[in-house]
Amino acid sequence: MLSLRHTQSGNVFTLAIAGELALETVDGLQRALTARSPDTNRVILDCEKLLFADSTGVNALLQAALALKRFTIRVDVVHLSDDLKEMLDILGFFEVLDSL
Amino acid sequence: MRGIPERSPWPVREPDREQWVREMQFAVRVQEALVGDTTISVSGALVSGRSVPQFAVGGDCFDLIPLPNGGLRITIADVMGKGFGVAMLMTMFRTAVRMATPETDSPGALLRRLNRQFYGDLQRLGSFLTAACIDYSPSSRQLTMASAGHPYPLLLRTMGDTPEPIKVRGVSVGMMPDSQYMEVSVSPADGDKLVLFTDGVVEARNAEGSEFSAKGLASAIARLRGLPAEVLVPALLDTVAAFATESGVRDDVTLVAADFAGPRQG
Repeated sequence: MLSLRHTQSGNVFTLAIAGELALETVDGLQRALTARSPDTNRVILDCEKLLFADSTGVNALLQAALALKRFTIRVDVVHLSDDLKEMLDILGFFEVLDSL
Repeated sequence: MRGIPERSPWPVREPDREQWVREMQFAVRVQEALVGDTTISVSGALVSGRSVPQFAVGGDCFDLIPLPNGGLRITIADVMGKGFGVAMLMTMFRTAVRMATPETDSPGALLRRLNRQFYGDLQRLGSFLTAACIDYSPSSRQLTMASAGHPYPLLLRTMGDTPEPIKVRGVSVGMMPDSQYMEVSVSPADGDKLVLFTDGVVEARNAEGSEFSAKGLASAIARLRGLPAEVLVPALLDTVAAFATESGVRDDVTLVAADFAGPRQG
């Protein structure tokens, strides 16, 4: 199960990702990000309640973040669990994100 | 959804169920031949591996390639996703590893070359893969390894209680166009064991939803440390199967184990 809740506060769009981001659930992520207002200049992906991400889920997160950065929108992935943070780190997620 | 190409310039007959079954059966045979049980012994090392797809075929692979110096190149890889499409990518990648091995003198060079080769296709597909490569040299008794986003290999020292991760890192294949891959070298002593795995091993779940985890794998390796590599691999797979419920193995699973026992072997 994946649960996505968003809030817009001025130019900042926050997406709270809860549950499991996996092959079966990733489609909702891109859709949820389209709810941001056109003048959004910062997106916060709040992963406090993200329990699990498989490789497809990680890729969806990365592709979403890269797409936003290409629109010069700042992206912050916050409140990752230690395990998920280590997994993303090993995969090279942060290195790719920082390269743009 | 139709299971035939949508952009064919001529009418393509949609395969009937029997045709699908035949194609699937052959695909399973191909994959079994490529990544089924394999054990290789070279001077000072015995290495064994096995890959089990979640569905009929999958995106995990490993390979054990003898080197001209009497050593061995060990590779393991995991293509994002599951099923037939990723199995095609896996087969391409495994072939590319074999083609590139005679022309790349180190694991880092191999991964750099494969990343450059696969970056375009993987970007177009919105996909990536993780891979690790380890070269074993019997003359120097050294393991040299590089990783492209792959889970850390575990090394169980003869005197150690539990396996320690070898923290070698690099960006996954297909994420950046020109990634560099650092190398880490370790010298295994007689009796040491090395285990490589894909994330399907540690992400297997029991009925309560708990993951087998890297810690669980490390404990199992320590408990089964007396087994030779070719017995350890199926024993670890049995341990994962016993832990997970029928639906608890949610990804392809691959394990490779190596024993280091001095120059007597081989």
